[in-house]
Amino acid sequence: MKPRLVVVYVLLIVLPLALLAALGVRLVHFERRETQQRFRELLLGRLKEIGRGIDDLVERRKREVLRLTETESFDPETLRTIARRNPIVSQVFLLDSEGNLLHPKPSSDLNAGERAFLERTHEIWERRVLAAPDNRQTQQGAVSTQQSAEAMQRIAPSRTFLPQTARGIPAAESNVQTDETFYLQTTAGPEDGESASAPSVGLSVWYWGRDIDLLVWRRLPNGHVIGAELDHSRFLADAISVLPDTDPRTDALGEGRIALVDSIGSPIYEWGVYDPPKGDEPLVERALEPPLAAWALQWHLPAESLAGPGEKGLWFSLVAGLLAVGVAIAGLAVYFYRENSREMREAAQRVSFVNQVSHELKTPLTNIRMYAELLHENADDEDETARQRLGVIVSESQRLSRLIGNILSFGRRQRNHLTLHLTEGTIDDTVRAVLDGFRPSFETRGIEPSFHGGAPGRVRFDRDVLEQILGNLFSNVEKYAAEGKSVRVETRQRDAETTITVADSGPGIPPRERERVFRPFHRISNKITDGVSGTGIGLTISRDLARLHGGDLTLAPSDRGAAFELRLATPPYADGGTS
Amino acid sequence: MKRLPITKLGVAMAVVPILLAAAAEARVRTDDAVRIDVAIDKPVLLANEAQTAYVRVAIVGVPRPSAEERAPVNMAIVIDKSGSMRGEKIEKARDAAIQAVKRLGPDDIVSIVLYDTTVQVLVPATKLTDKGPVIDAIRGIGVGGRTALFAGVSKGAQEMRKFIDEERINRLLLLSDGLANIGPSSPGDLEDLGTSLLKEGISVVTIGLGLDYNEDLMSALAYKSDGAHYFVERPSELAGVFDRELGKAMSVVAGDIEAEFICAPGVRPVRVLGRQAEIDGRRARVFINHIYSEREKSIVLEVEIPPTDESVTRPVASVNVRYDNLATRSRESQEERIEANFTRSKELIDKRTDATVMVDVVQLIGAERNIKAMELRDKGQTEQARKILYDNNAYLLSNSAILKAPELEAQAVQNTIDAESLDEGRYESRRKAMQMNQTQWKLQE
Repeated sequence: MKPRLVVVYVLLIVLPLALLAALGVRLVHFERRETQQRFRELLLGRLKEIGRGIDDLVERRKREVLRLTETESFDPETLRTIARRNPIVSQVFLLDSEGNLLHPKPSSDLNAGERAFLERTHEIWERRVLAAPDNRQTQQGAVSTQQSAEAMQRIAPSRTFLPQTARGIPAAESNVQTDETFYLQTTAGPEDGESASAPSVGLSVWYWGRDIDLLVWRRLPNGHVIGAELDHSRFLADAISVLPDTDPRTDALGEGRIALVDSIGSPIYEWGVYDPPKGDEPLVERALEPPLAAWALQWHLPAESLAGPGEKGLWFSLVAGLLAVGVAIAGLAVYFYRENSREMREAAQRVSFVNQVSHELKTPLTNIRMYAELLHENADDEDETARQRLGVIVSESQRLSRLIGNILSFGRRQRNHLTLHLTEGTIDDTVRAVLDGFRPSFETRGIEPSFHGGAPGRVRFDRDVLEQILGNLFSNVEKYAAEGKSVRVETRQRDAETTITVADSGPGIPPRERERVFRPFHRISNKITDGVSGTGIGLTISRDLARLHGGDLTLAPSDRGAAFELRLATPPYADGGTS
Repeated sequence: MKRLPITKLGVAMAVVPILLAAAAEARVRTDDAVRIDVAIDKPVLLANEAQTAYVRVAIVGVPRPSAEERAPVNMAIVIDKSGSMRGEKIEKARDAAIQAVKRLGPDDIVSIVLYDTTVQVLVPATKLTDKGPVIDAIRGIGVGGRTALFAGVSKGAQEMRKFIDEERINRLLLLSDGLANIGPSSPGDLEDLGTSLLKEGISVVTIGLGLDYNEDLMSALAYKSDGAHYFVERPSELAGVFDRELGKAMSVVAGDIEAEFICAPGVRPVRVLGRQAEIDGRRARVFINHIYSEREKSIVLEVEIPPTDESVTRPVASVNVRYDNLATRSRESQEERIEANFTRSKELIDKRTDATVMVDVVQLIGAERNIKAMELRDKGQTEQARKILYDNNAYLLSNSAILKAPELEAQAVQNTIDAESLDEGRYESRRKAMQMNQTQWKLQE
């Protein structure tokens, strides 16, 4: 096999494979990013769903507390009974319109629970955060109220502004004494009246000490505020209860481990079969909706599941696909190579067969032609019929030998064996001789040849080549331009170059065919050529021979018909050496 | 250290005739689930002197007509399956749980919750009509992980809530052998949870297994929810504890007991010994979740009585006890008033002193002193602690003799053992026994 062919075949296999592989790898990476992104979004979506359970719990508790505190009488005994009988609340409180505590009243007889409650919450009451807005004690810059339906109040301790964590709550590690740190955030309810600054119902989250506490309250028509503190532990227990438990039958990869973490990031509750290693960073984390925005849900998953469900499969199918494509391409390449080389072999065999046959035909034909010409020359002038018949034999055998000459030249051309045999002579003589040879057949077809010789000098040229080229050109005229009724042959000589123009008056060659006619086996297909026999190699051979002879065969521009211009390098005899 | 309820009951009944007539009427009704007995330690007090007195209400469950007729039980068994439970501990825990399930009846509800780092509801709350699957599930319990105690109790309570109603006895059995290290795990968190659970009528019985659990946390949860707390050193004792608790649950005759003391004008309630109470103004309230058949629980309120003239009869307090009668499924109440007379005769005072009340008072004061000693020992004041325990021992012993109360002698013995176990190495395990004793003396479980 030729090295070039090897390279072509290798490229043919390697290039598409490399391209595919590159695309595939990019695709896999893209897929992985996409998958991971989608995976994360999926997980976040599920965390949101899960978090909704806790949001609902807050809403439920809020409604329950509002229902619990729907009371006609506000004496301490009634309020104590509410707190005592309801597991979800730890304390009920009542404020007057100026924000003073009416229950549990600091100066009255308090039970231990009430005292503890006041200890936890005294700052809220001192700041009168829940008082009607006119009575609220404003601390310079510390209280800001957004006048909106979802009015949020953030009250930072006056003593020190606490470092805020990412979730917007005081950092627990701060060296500030825990009972001095508190942070209150109020979400006004939808029952919010026309006055946004005095919400009638609210849920306040209060960051103090250990974690969060929730206060639910309602403003009464007389401006008093009744509310309750949700029992912290019970709320935690309820949050745990709305979250799923661990089902050991689930797949550790699918479930992972989900943790509900409090404001300092320590777990309140975890579930899921997967046991993450210590210090494992959660894959996704989502804070709960306000008012519990300090809490978050974290999802831990084993690293292998992060690699993406099905990514291994993706790599596998990529490699498998590449292999399959590679095998297919290689198979195709082998098939085409074998087909190709078989055809080449067959073609070569055919060519060599044709060459051999042509060669075998050439010798007898030469004899036939020679004797026919002799007979023709010596024929009796009276016997016109015999003369004519001999003329046909001569012209036909000339045609045949031209054909054979073309075939042999073509075979040599293919083997790069075309050579010149320069001899001394006159171009015009040769042209005239060839034209004379064609005269009988031109006459038969009614073609009037005219010759304008302009190359009388003795020059060195390959007579056989010139004869072959002219033979081909005249033969074309005879075959395709007979309707033009004329052919004009003109020779010119200048320095060492001879130009021969053969112009007919036939239908000519359409512009787009002007180059193609020189390609091997190309025949213009139209009504003119249909039904005319030919090999399609005449012009190809002619141009090759002309080029071999230091010139060219071109199609000259012409008004009508086709005009071939043949240039040949013809060194004058005087200059050149011997033949 | 356990007192003998029947003997105690006998003594209590013997005292009844000398009590105030006003109280007697309440006891005539026959379908009552409990009998109450309100008494003051010294019905005759020293005149013209401010002094401390103790008002005691004893609540005794009536005998049940038959063993079959009992209120159904709603029980959650919450089992620690953390890594440290491996081996005999989990084996015995499984056996104890299976035994409990076998003993419960088809009307009872049981749920089994397992916890380690996470929580698994092994058996959701279900009526025990078919015990087979439940027992099979218990047999399959394995171990591993850390200790999410709070979450385990939360889930257990949630299961119980599915069937929570007045006629069922709600009890959560919590077994743990290690420190809670996932989720809320301070005694405060569990105290609050216990308080909240008691409001729903759920008592938590905490069982500490081995020497590695946090007894403060476990006893706090039991105490606040009016449950019981056990220190079980050997896994083989588990079955006994489960059985005992189950027996108690099956013998409950009254639930959601609220005892309200209203002191007479001039009398100030100071504190309730042993139990949690809500005291505001002249009112004191105590909540008890369950009263068992033929067993007594008593509440002792310490009051301050102002100087009063001789021969005056002064009302001291009225006590109203409200409870759910589980046999009739109705809320009932009984009320008694207590008065005191005043004299200058110390002899008369001593003579009229109510021995049954004194036994309760001494026992509870003995418990308080034991707690005080433990606090001192925790602060490293070992010798002071030891002295208090020996003194306490002497106090209990002398009263045991005077009051002819063998249960005080048993309590005295415990204090001696405590005193001798304060040194490094022994104290750790003894402390667990002390916590158990203290909870039991306080709650009389």
